[in-house]
Amino acid sequence: MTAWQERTIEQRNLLNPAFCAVAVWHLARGYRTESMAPANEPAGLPLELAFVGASLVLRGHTRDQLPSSVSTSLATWVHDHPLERSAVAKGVIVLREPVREALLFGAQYGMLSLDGRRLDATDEHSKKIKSYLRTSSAEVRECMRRAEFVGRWLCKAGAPPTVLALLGVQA
Amino acid sequence: MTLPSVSTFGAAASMVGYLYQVRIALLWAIRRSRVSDFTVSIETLDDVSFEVGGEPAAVLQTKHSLNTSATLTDLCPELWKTLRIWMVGLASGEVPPETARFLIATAEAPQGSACSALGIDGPDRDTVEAVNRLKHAATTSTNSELKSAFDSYLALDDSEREQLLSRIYVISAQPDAAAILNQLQAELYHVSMHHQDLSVQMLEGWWFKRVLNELVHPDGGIPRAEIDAQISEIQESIKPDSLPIDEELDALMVALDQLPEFANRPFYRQVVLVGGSQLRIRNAITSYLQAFRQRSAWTRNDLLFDADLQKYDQRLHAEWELQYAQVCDELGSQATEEAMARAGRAILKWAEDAHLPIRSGVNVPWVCRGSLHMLAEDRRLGWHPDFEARLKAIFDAPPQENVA
Repeated sequence: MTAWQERTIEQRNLLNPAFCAVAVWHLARGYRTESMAPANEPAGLPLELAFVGASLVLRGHTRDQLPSSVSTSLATWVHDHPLERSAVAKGVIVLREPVREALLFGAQYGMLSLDGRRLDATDEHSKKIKSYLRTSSAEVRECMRRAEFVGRWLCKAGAPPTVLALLGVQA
Repeated sequence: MTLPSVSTFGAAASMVGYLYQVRIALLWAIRRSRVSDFTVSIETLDDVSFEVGGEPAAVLQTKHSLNTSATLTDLCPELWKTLRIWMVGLASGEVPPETARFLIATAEAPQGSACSALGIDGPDRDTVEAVNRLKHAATTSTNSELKSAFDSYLALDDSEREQLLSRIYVISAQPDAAAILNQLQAELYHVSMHHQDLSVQMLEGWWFKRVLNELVHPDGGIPRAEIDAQISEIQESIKPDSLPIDEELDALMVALDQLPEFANRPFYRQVVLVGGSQLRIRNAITSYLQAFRQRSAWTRNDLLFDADLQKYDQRLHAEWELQYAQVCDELGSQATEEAMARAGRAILKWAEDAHLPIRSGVNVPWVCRGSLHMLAEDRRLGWHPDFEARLKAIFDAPPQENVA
């Protein structure tokens, strides 16, 4: 892990643990929402999908090209956006450290809970997160809105190995 | 009597056939490299063969038709010539029975033909049907050119024929030698996001040379590791050499009355420390804002540059250190305030004039200038020879207690 002072200003500002933790929190919430749709059995976000989800959401070019509805299949989207596929796979590598830090940060502050290999978003901080978003820039709000969407979308896309294979991410 | 025409000697068809075979070999090699290890050879046992641990795992025969209406009928020479090669290989033991055999053709396999019954998957695949159709073709045809192929096929018994055909897959209606380029590009998407054409050209250029070398000096085939290494080398060499520059930022200019807003920022104070004029301060603020916003946009829109920014900052810091050390050496330890400020202005001038582009294609000067001011803002570098202590005094002084 790079020491805080040695990171670029961009890393410190844009990929800071708190911000990334809030993004993962939204991913996990979206995932849970969608998992309840068919069987009412809430499921946590598989750990590996936190990295994939962050890569889909935090990179602006990719975020702008996400579908508008969860019913668009991931396979179709990947097929229609071959460039995004490789960018997402690379993004997972770039974001490995920031997302790891975000998970630690989120767990420490009780925003995220880890159960085996699945993450859940705890509800106790929802108010704080909502008020944080009210004062945030439009881009930050868009990130979080899309994170929740991507959480649902990845839940619908099937088992994590399928998702990783579709996006060409090596586990 | 008709005179022979020069076109009789035309080699276009066989030429295209060879090129097609070499291209197919590359395409299949890239595809297979995702799932398993192998060594690929061309024209040893077959047109193209993939070996795993010294045993052929798959052999390919490629058939390129220049005639667009060609079809793979039960009697077509392409099919029978291929079968003959495979039967010879099987009899001699060079190609074990379990090796997968692929016939890749640009021609279509008509509905109900033996070739369509040998398709790679789907409900149409029916080896028994293919065995019988081919037996019928071999017994009834009078084509003398294919007689030896027919004879060897009929010499097998039914179970041998079935065993052979069960490992034969006919892949018909494939893109022709030119169109296959698109498939190669698709396979290389992950290699080069920005230079699709170039990466295919570079890889093919290397591949044709490599294959030719292997044909002239056979050396056991081309291992997958070599192909992988070549692909990653290409990936490294064609990183885009420029980055998008926001035109609005390029035109940005800070107004003089905005200066006080920045008066408490370290990078502002650093210019003041060396006695920089208002105009110089304004230029510093402008380049700082330009670089800050542009770098932020690069990071937000394309996470991929993150590591590059870090390296860039390190490079700038190293260059600054060189200047700083030179100037401080000249100055000596007993320098006056005035001399120190003058020396500091020389370092600041270096920073203002510096042109160390983050990528060779990024030509706007403010990315470099502004990034240096960003490092100054971070107090990782400075202009005044004694900048560290002086900034400490300004920013890190303990809050003054009110002494009554």
